[in-house]
Amino acid sequence: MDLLLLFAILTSAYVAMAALGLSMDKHFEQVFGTEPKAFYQRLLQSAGWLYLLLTLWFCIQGWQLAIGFVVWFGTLTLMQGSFALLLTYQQRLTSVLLWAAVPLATLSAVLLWTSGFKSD
Amino acid sequence: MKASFRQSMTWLHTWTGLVVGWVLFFVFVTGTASYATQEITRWMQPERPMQSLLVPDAATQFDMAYQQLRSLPQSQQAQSWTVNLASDARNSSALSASWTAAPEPGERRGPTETLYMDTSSGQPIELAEPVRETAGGRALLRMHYALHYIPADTAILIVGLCTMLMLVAIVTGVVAHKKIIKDFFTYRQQKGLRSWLDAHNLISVSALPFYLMITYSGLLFFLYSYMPLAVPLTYGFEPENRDAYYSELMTQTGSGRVLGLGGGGGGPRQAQTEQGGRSGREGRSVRPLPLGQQAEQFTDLSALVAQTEELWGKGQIRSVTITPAARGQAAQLQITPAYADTIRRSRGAGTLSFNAQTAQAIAASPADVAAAEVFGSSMLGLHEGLFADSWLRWLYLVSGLLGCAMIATGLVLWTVKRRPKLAKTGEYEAGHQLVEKLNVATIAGLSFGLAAYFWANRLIPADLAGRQQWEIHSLFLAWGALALYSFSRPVFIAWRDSLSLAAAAFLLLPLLNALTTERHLGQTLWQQDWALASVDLVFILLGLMLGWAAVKVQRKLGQTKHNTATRNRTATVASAEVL
Repeated sequence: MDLLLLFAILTSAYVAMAALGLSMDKHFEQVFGTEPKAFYQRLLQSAGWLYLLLTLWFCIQGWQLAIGFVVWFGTLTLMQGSFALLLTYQQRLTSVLLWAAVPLATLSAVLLWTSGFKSD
Repeated sequence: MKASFRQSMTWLHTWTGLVVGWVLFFVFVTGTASYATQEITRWMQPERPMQSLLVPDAATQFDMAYQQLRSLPQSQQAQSWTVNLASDARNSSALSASWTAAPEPGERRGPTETLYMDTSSGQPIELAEPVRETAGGRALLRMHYALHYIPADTAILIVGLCTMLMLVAIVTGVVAHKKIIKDFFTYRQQKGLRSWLDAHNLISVSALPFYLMITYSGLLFFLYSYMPLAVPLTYGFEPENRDAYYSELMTQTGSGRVLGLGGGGGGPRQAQTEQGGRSGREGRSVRPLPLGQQAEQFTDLSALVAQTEELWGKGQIRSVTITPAARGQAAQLQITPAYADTIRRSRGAGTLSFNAQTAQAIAASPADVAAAEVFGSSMLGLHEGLFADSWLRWLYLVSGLLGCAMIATGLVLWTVKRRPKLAKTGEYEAGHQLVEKLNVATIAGLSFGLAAYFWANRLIPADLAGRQQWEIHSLFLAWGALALYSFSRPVFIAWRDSLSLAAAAFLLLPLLNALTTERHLGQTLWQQDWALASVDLVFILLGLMLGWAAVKVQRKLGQTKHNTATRNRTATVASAEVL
């Protein structure tokens, strides 16, 4: 299995879960100390859904349709749990990782796209 | 009757969960371990060679093993020859040649012997000691649906009943969970009951699709055991009526096997014996030449292997099987791919077959199966996850572990919720006590029993006859002993001690492994045998998690002691003042 692909689904699944989580008033306040502006909330929500789909696209490209869905669900489970744990024990890290993961996930998407998902 | 729909559902969730929780915990723990059946078995047979570092192309590897099969006197009369190629794929750590003898009368399969090969020299590996017999991962796999010590038929019904109630508990749990979206990521720590509820909710929501899938599909495996009257009421009660149903079903679904007849998922028993009988009869009348002699007529098989590797890509072949000509069928060469590309449970999917004499490809029968069959075999396939590569396999393991945690937190939650109320009214009733103790005995006790299973594998002499059974006995003996202990101690002390003991048992396993075998972490990590190393690493991880739980209990115990001490002191001071 391709390491770049694995990296891509991990980062993009994290972006999806973290953005969706932080778009909720409760968690946004927990991390940033203020209520989210409507614009930010929208932005986080859209990013969350977008990267959720991006993750699915990675999974289907890497594992075909049927197995791809299974990998997608499993990866999201892992990342939902990881994000929830970070939110409880390392709140600041959630946003730091989110800013780091967005460009990394996007970059790996571009790399995978240009290489046509071939592992060699 | 409860006031609202949600309250009724909560009630149902609480009580179904409690009643079947302990059995389900066992099923989930052993079931989760079953996602690593082959890896566990390999860990339990430390005599087997490590991952081959050098992996030549498929044809070269095949040649090495094929020459052995052709020249060894023991393999000449075999019913089939199999060459497992070394690759990165699961359970393909070493090149091996194996041959299966004809079955004894009354047996379904003959004994198989395996010779491991060195991929660099092409010579058989001289094992320092014979590979030990072990109950391995398969025993755990079997236990998760057939339990142990009781007849399989009864066990399957018990597990099935629990599974049905589990499905009820999952669905009612979703209804009972008021803020399933709002609390999707919420865990509030150190808030007593609130934290337990958060943990249970979070764990339950996180792998919800997996739980639904695993519970529902689990019921499909023994479909006909759970609905024994469904077929007889329509087709009649005689065995031949049942067979009529099976053959009708197979024609309509376009499948060679009937789903829902149990773990093996083979064809109906009747059909199988019939086939066996037929081959036996014909086998006597026209005795086919032994495989060793037939092989003289074979075409250049390694060319076929090379050609297939060209087609599939390097490292994509799992195994090559050769069967002799018999019953009017030509001798065959079958090449099986290393990775599955379907979630369906379909043995032999993607396998290429060739006539071993003429090298002609034998076309697979067209896979025109009915939608119901696709659905059924997909559910069973999803349950077993045999198609999972290493990443997906880890995800399956994580989901399974979350399932264990869901059941464990649910069971504990039941007691935490009722504890203050009981303490206030002063009646600490027997039922509550029993649940508390059963929780310790099951959750911590089974963890310890599982560790003991692996300890037994290393400590029981490798050449002891019937050692497999003793490995399994060790699991239950250790579990039983710890259960007895936890029943005789106050609940929190029992939790602390049992969890500590289980943690220590898991943490020391890699050490025991290092002391008793050559397959310890120092070796496996050095030789990059990740599959074998990961078993030891998971033991350490489980030990750490159990240890963390033990520390938590200890803290809680310290707090309670402290509280009682302060309360007692103030009480003494107060009474002194009164005096």
